[in-house]
This record gives sequence, C-alpha cells and structure tokens, in this order.
Amino acid sequence: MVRLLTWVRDFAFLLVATMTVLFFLVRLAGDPAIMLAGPDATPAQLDAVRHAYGFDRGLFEQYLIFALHLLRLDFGASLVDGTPALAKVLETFPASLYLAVMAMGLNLAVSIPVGAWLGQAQGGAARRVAHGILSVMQGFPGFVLALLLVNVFAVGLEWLPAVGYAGPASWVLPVISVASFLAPKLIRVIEANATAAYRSHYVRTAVAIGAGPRTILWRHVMPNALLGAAAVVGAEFAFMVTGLVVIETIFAWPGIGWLLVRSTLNLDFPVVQAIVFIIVIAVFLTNAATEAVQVRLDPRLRGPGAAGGGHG
Amino acid sequence: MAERILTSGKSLLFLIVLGLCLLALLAGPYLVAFDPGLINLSRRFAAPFTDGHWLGADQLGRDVAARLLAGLYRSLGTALAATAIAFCIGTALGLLAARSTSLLGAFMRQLTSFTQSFPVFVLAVSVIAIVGSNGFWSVVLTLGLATWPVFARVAYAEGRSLLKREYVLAAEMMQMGTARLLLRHVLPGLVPSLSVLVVFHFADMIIAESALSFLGIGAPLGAPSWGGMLNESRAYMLVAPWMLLAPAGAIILLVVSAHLFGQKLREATA
Repeated sequence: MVRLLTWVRDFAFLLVATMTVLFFLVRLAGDPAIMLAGPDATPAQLDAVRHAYGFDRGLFEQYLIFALHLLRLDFGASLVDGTPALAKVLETFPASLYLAVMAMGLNLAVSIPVGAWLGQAQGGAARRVAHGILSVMQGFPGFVLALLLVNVFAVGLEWLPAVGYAGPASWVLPVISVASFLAPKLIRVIEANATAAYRSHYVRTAVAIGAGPRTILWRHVMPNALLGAAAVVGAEFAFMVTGLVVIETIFAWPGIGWLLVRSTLNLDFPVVQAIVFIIVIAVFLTNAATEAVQVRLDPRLRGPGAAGGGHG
Repeated sequence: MAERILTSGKSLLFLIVLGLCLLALLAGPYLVAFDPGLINLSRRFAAPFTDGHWLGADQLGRDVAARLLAGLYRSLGTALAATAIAFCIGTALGLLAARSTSLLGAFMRQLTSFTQSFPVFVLAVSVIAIVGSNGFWSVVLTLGLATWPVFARVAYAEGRSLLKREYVLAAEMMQMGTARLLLRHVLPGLVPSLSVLVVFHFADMIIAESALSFLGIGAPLGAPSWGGMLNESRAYMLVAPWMLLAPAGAIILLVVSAHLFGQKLREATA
C-alpha cells in the first residue's frame, strides 16, 4: 500500500515537473504566431492568430489554462494540420511499439544464446574474437551503422528497401539497427551472470550429483543469469525510445520518434508536448513493470525491507 | 598503474586517434587547400584523390576533407564543453546531496532517480528545437544541462560511502568546512570512477552532437558538421559514397576508440 502511494507520488511529480519545464521553454522561445500565420502575414493577421491561440495572455495565465487542459488530456490542436495533438501522437505509437518489440525480440534471440556460450567457458580463439567484436560494438553509434546498412543492403545490393513501413522486407534494416545497439550490453550482462553462476555452490552441487552440461546450463545457470538480466532488458526497453528518434527518421518509419523530429522542426509544440507526455508515461510504466516482474521472478526481492533497492 | 592502462592495445588506439585529431586540428589548414564552404559546381562529386580533394567533393563541389576538419572542431568542441558542464554541475550537486541531510538531499535523490529513467535525448531534441537550433552554445548547454545527472548519481553514491570513512570523520571533527571537506577529502576518492565516466560521456556527446546535426536540429544548415554531412550524403550514396564514408569513418573511429579506452580504464580501476 505504501509502495503504491510512493509510486503515485513519484509519477505525479515526474509529470508536473516535465510539463512545467516544457511549457515555459516553449513559450519563452520564438513567436509561434509568425510560424502559424506564415512569414508574409500582416500585423493584424498576427494579432488575430495570437488571440485565437491565447498567446496574447500572460505567461502564468497560459500555464494555468494549459494545466487545466492537461487534466482533461487536452493538449490542443496540432499547429500544422489542426488535428488534436494527443490523437496524432497516439496514432503513431503502435508503429514505434512494433519496432521496439521486434528489435527486443531479435535482441533476446541473439543475446541469450551468445551470452550463454560466452559464459560457459573462458579463453579460446572464437571467444576472443567475439569479445573483440562486442567491445567495438558497445561503442558503435547506432545511427551510423543504420546508414552503412542502408548503403550496403538497400543502395548497393538492392536487396531491401531503404525506407518505409510496408511488409517484412522493410522491417529488416530498422529492426537490426535498433537491436544492434541493445545486444552488446545484454550479452555482456548475461555472460557475466552466467560466469558467476558457474562458480556458485549450487552448480558445483549439480555437477557433483552427475547432471549433464545441458541440464546445468538451462536448469541451473541460465534461470539465474536471466533473472539478473531482466533489469537490463527493462532499462533497454525504456531507453530504446532514444534510438527510435534517429532510426525512425532514417527509415521514414511512421512512429513517435519521427513525429517528434518533424514536429520540433515545425515548432508544432502541442504535438511536442503530447509526445513528451506519452514518452514519460511509457518510460515510467516500463520501469514500474520491470520492477514488478523482477519481484515476481525473484523471491529474494519480496518481503519487508527488500523491495525496491533504490539508489545508495 | 598508469603505465599498464596506457600501454594496452585499446588505449594505444585511442591515443593514436587523439593524436591524429590533434594533428588534424593543428596541421589541417596546411594540408587541406580548400575552404569548407567554398562551392565549385564544376567539381561536383569529384572522386577522392582528384584535383587535390583528398576525400573527394560533395554535391556542391565543396571539399569533403575541409568539411570533415571543420566538423572535427565542432564535434570535439561540443563534446568537451558539454562533458565539462555535465561533470561540474553533476559532481558538485551529487556531492552536496551526499553531504546534506536536508531538503536539498531529498530533492537531489528524487531528481537523479527520475532522470535515470528519462530518455534525455528526447528532451534535448525538443529543447534545442524550441530554444533555437542554430547555435553552437545552445547545443552545448542543452546537452550539458540535460546529462549532468549521470555524474550526480555516481558522485552521490560514492560520496556517501566515502563520507563514512574514518579520515573524513576525523576531518569533520576538526571543524573542517563542507566545501573544503568535499574538495580535499572526498573528491580525490572519486577520481577513478569519474574519469571512466568522463571518457564514456565524451563518446556519448560526440554521438549526440552528430545525431542532432543529422536530424537538422544541431548545427545550422550548411555549416560543416559530421551529422550534417551524413544527412546530405543520403541522397547521393550511389554516386558519391565517400560523402557517407568519410564522416561515418570519423565518428566511428573517434567514438569506438574512446569507448575501448573507457573499457580499459574501467577494468583497471575496478
């Protein structure tokens, strides 16, 4: 019960803080009326636009109106095409979610076996090469990789479409691009956890009573290694939105990231605010869900005093 | 220990890359005969190593090497300045929060735990676009001000444990002031973990700057920047692949070598 209350309080604090910062930054910047009415507008036209959108009132008054509207989830209309901002954002959300889920699926499909293989033993030429590749990939800028992939597979070989959102062929490059900057980190964590599990007493016991290497890996080592990796998966899910902004723009993927870039370039601030609002909620819920899943999976996190962990 | 860190292959690569950057910054103007903004349509898409264009020319006949060099100034400048801002603010606030038992400490804890879960780049994109994109300093300030919690989190966590050490308690008992205590006795203990963080943050800032310029909300249009060059190259990948490969190679070399150095540093200080 106490946890739920803290959760609600944190959530409210986060929302109010983000929205306040965004509101004032948006209003303190350039004049949105010029952008709305066009560069050739007469002063009278500008005044009409200012009045229609409420830009002529005091800053604080605008903030109060904004806050009241926010309570009703009303962000106003997009300055570009007049459709409700929130609806416009929610329309693009599924496309981003598909991309995120597919990339996470590929990430898990690659990271779990590779992490298990690396954790099983030390040394050997193949593992050294894999470690080298991982070290390089960990620092590799994802969007540069995406451009190089487009150059090779779409422009050079013409195997795959360079942009778009039509059919599985157009999903390949974006999904690989996003997964490529998630996998190295996850592989490293799974490897480290598996290595630690192999050194534990319960694995030694399993070996002593004659369990085969397969049973040891999948029954004893991996469940514990993946338990620790659950937190990383959750964090990666939350942080994926950062990668989506650039990757979606490169591939013209009709998701929330591309919309954010287009809206910021157009100074379409109702839509920008709605996007940030949705992202804050999505990230917060992802983190909460991660914690809940961890507590469910790991009995050690349950009970008084054990929950949360926190920082420091 | 310093010797062990510096003589490993990973660090050597980074030192060589840094040396190349320095060389390019100092000698670049003598090696590249062109102005980065000079348009010469008769040399459109000139191939590398023709007419004195070491790395070829772009769709307006501008020299790619000259633009790469000018972009290096922007990338290094942005990354260094943004890292410095984030480091100073983050470390100072993190240490103060670790020391303070009052409202400031509670507020700081709340703030850093939120920013840990918030996609900072999204915020930076919206803020830079709003505040006005065509400035070196607006990008630097936004990146620095948006990312300082990275340092605050570490300074807070490690500062807390250092503040419980006997030598700190002894200094405290001798009535040492907070500023002096933190600077003289706590900060030196944070050097290993913070220096690792600085290296990784520098690499992240290089990526962030080029990503923002790529999206058209970092460097102003037409100004030479690695991200902007990448963006322009997309339309001409088939006719002029060097327009993509030159900035891509530069970013990869700088970021990956910094990352490898950071990994080495972390191993050595762990």
